[in-house]
Amino acid sequence: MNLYVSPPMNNLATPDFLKDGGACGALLRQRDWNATAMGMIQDWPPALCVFLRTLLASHQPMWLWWGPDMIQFHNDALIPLLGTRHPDALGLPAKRAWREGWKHIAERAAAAMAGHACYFEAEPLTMGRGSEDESYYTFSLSPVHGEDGGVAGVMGIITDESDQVRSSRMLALEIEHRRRIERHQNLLLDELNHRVKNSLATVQAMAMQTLKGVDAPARDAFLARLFALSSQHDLLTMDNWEGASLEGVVRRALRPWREEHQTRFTVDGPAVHLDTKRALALGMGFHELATNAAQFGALSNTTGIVAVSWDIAPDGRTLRLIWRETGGPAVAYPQRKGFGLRLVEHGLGRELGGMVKLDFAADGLVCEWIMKLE
Amino acid sequence: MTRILIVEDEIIVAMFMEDILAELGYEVAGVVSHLDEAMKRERDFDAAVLDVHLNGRNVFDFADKLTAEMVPFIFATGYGERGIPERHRGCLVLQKPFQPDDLKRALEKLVVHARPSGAAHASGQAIST
Repeated sequence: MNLYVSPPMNNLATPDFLKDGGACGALLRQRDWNATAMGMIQDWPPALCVFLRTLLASHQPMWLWWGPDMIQFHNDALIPLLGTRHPDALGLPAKRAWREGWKHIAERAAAAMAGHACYFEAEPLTMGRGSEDESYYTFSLSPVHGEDGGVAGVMGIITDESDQVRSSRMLALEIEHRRRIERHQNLLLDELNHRVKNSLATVQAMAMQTLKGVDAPARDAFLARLFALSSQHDLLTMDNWEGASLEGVVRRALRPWREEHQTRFTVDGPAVHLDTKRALALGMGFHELATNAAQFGALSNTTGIVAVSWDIAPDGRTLRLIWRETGGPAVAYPQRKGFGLRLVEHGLGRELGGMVKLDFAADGLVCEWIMKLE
Repeated sequence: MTRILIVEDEIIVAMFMEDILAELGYEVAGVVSHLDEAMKRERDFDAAVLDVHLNGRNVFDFADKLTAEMVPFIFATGYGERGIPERHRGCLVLQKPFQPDDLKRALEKLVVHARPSGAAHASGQAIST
């Protein structure tokens, strides 16, 4: 015996291969193996000793089941996963070491002993450390060969995936939660829209009843405005009230007239997205301009043309929008501006935070808006 | 004269529809504002205009019944086509509010089967204007 090697505690010998084996190595040294089927450490086969040395020194949670009884050896890295089963599990046959957890793994252990390696991802296992219903592991079982070339044991390598599984579950829950909120919002939006529509239908019905035979032009002008509003609502509903395209707003506002005068409109400009407020305001503005044109302007004869065009200034935020009538009867400055033109000139200017210029040019009305987009 | 049943729980809208239908030359078989009432109603009409939401219930059971009995109908709803279930997707849907012309066109599209003469006459009050 080498006197210069300090004997650990009460042990007889210190096999080299256990020297750097950490707490588990120390425990193995202290164990009286002579009383077990493993026999004295000094008599363990070299293949086992080499393998154990590697295993005990590793920081990767690992174990080895050795021999026909599958005696368990594990390293310090596995201790946190074993919980209260450490240190008893060390040196016990696998079946007893794993207790109730064995049933999950017995078949796969037998397969590995028969020479078949296997690998599993994010599986629940009962390892012994408590909170097991929340624990998931990725692990592999691989046959370990002895000197005679046959399978002498099984190496287990394991990684705790509980955090990853938990966070991906949380993520899934979060996504589901958001979907639910979204569905709920859509329901609310549908309900709101339905109520607005029913209210508009009721207002329409009341106007029809109240104004029956009284003042047909006034009634028709009122109903046309109501429908213009309702129709712009439809456009916004299609996009869940997140706004609408300028072209969509223009085409929808002009629809009642386009049906009759297909060829007398041109609509031209780049794609522009309008927020809800601008979409509704511009929709009503175009309605009023078209109504005016049908009464006094380019749509009041058979040859007039209405050109709607727009562009975006190089700053990318300034919209310049032009309504230009040509070919209508000669235009004179109106003695009195009705609700429609006042809405276009003043109301929209204020509401859209931009500039509106109404030009009663002799060859046709020109309305120019300049506004900042959000 | 073709008899139309109005299923609508908004009384002012129902009155408005009575007026329009009369103006268009239809006879109003009656106005019904509850689903139970609609389900129990005798077949004294040739076609129907159905509001989708009736005092907190939807009209689709009645629509199923009409479909089974081959009675033509139109939906008139604030939801538009979005609120119509798959099985009724082929039906005509009027988005509220609608213009008298829209109702006229929709009714003309329905294949209205004339009832045999001598059938019990409806108690609906067709309002003339």
